[in-house]
Amino acid sequence: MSAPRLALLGGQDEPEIAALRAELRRRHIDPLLIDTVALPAAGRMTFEFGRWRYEDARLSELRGLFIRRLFIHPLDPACAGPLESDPRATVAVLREKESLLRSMLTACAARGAAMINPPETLTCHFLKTETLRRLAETGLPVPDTLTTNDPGAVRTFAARHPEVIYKPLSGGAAARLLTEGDLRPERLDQLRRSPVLFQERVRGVDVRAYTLAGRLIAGGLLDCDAVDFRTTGRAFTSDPLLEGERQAAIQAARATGLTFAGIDLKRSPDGGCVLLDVNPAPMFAAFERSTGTDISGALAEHLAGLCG
Amino acid sequence: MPRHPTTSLPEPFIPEFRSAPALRGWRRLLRWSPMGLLPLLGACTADPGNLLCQLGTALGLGGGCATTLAVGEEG
Repeated sequence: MSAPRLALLGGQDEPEIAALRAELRRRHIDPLLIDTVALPAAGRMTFEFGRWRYEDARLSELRGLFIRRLFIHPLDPACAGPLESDPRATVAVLREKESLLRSMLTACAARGAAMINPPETLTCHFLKTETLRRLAETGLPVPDTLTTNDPGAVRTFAARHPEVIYKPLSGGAAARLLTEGDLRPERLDQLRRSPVLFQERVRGVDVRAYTLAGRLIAGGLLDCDAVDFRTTGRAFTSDPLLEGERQAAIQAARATGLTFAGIDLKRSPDGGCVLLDVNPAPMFAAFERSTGTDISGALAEHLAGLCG
Repeated sequence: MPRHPTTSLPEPFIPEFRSAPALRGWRRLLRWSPMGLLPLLGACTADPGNLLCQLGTALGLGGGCATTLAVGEEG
């Protein structure tokens, strides 16, 4: 039975996993791949006699784990079929898988394994409201934000700003511009079903920054008019970040406890910046391709250092 | 124990949350004429990395990236 020192957690077909694996192999490290997407349909994970194993590998010697994808949410497109045909079982088995992986990771952490990023920090993307509060408390610039199910609070907030956007508290949909129609009573009544995060719209160039272990490893810009750049399908270009953006990104990663982070900012015409979001397990393969940056190499170097 | 007010609730404010799961989107997509798919395929060919985003848009997932539904691990 093998005893690997490094593991990658994610789907084996994910480009980020493939890129990182290749970089590690270039450094003569063959990481264990735990396919968290295929599990448990493929891949055997077992806890027995106080020890964890995956396939034929003992997990007790792991010194580092890179977590690209851990828990699968029932709304993940991959679950669309099962969710429609058997919703109760789908939710139940995903929760069981989460328990399995969370227990395994907790055991690895207790043995001193380092994780990029620790599971408890992965929730920062799910808890956007709390993340924004934490960033603001650190003194970082964030948009004026309202999270509520109160129609009156939304009307007051909308009157305070020339443009307001709205998005989910936990992800799963793009940001949209709040319109006059959205302020109609019957529309705001829909907040009884679910609260929503409203923000002043910040116009400017989109900035994406990647930080690793307290330093900026890559950055790029995307100049578009869309409320949410993800809806455009356009790619970032390699451009140097301003010093204020570099410092804001590094401080945001520190404030959210993330070793590796993908941070979204807006650059205003006067050169100032506002933090929009902090991603704890960011995609980076497409960004590397379009900008020519080397994020997987930096990550591999960091992970290799953990193996000692 | 108080009952959760599940009856007579309106649709969610976020439009994407009202729609059926992505599978229904796929069925909608498949009902389109092949010609309707050409612009989508063209965009994907230009940048395969954007494939998921384009599909997400086509499937009515808010015009965003389909992977944004992987909670906590998006972006």
